[in-house]
Amino acid sequence: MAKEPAYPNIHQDLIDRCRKGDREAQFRIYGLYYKALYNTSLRIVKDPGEAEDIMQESFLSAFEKIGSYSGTVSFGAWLRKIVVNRSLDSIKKQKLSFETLDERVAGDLSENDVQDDVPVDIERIRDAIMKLPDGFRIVLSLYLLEGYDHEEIGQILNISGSTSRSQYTRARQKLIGILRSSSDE
Amino acid sequence: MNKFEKHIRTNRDQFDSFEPSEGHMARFRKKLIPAPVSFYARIPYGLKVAAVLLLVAVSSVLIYEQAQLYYTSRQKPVQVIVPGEFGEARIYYTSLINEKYSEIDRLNIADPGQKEILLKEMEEMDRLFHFLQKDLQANPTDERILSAMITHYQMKLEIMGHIIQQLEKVNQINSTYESHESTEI
Repeated sequence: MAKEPAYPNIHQDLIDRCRKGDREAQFRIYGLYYKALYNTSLRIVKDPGEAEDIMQESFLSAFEKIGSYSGTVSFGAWLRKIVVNRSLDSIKKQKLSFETLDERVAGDLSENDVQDDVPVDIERIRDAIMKLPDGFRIVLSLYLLEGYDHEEIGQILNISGSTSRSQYTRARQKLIGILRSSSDE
Repeated sequence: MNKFEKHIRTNRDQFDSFEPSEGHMARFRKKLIPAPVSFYARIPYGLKVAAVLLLVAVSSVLIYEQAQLYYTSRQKPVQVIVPGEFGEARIYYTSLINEKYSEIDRLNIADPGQKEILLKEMEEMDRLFHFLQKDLQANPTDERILSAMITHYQMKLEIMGHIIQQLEKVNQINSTYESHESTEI
């Protein structure tokens, strides 16, 4: 079987230098990715201080085990996975509760929530996401903002793909509800 | 994907708007403690080269000295072994053989022809021994010749001992016969 080609990273030279333990290259990589990864962690743990710690520790961990980065995904995606896992560990993912929803009901909800009156201001949506309960917020963030599909989310959270799907549907409904109620205020 | 989801994904970048607390870059740089450099890596390159050259030079001298010792020891054995170990063995066996000759002479061999045959047999053995001595002169280090010469001495002694035993028996029988002859009936 042919070996999967390495992902063409824009900053491949920096990644290669990081492999050699070049501290300056590691610092530059941090500068490139810290903001996105901080926000990823913040959406999961909700605590700014904790999110920063997780983000920085994730970088250090990544540089330490950079040898295991095979290049089949982008370096950013590899880093993000580390941050997500560490953030979930931090809020003890086993304590999260996920409700399985009947697929039929989920489908109905999916069709019904397409409303034109939903506020579209990004800042408001962002704030509303942070008001969601942990389980909803995490699944919605991972699917809608981090770009994972439901099977991947299922693997990350140790739940089935269908549970992730139904959880997301309910989270989206809840989000729209929050946005509507905030616009009414 | 509905309108709401599409709107979020289109404006995905705006969701990463939070920044870690001030000074996070400096804090992270502090965490990037330079990896401990091994003792070997700290040695200047020039010193490493000098050390290798010194090692090679010392090794060469030692190898040369060992080789000299080896060849010297290979050349000396002939002078040491022949007059030493083999010389002593030759003196020892020659004195034993001379003793045996004296014993044979002391024994009265009734038949002079028989004595002559015995001495001729001994001469024939000595003639073979002279060939070995000539070979030894040509190949002074050949241990096989030295071994063959020792074997010759041992065989000669064994044969002479056997002859003496037989002569003693003959003499014993003759003396008994003579005594019986002298007994008056």
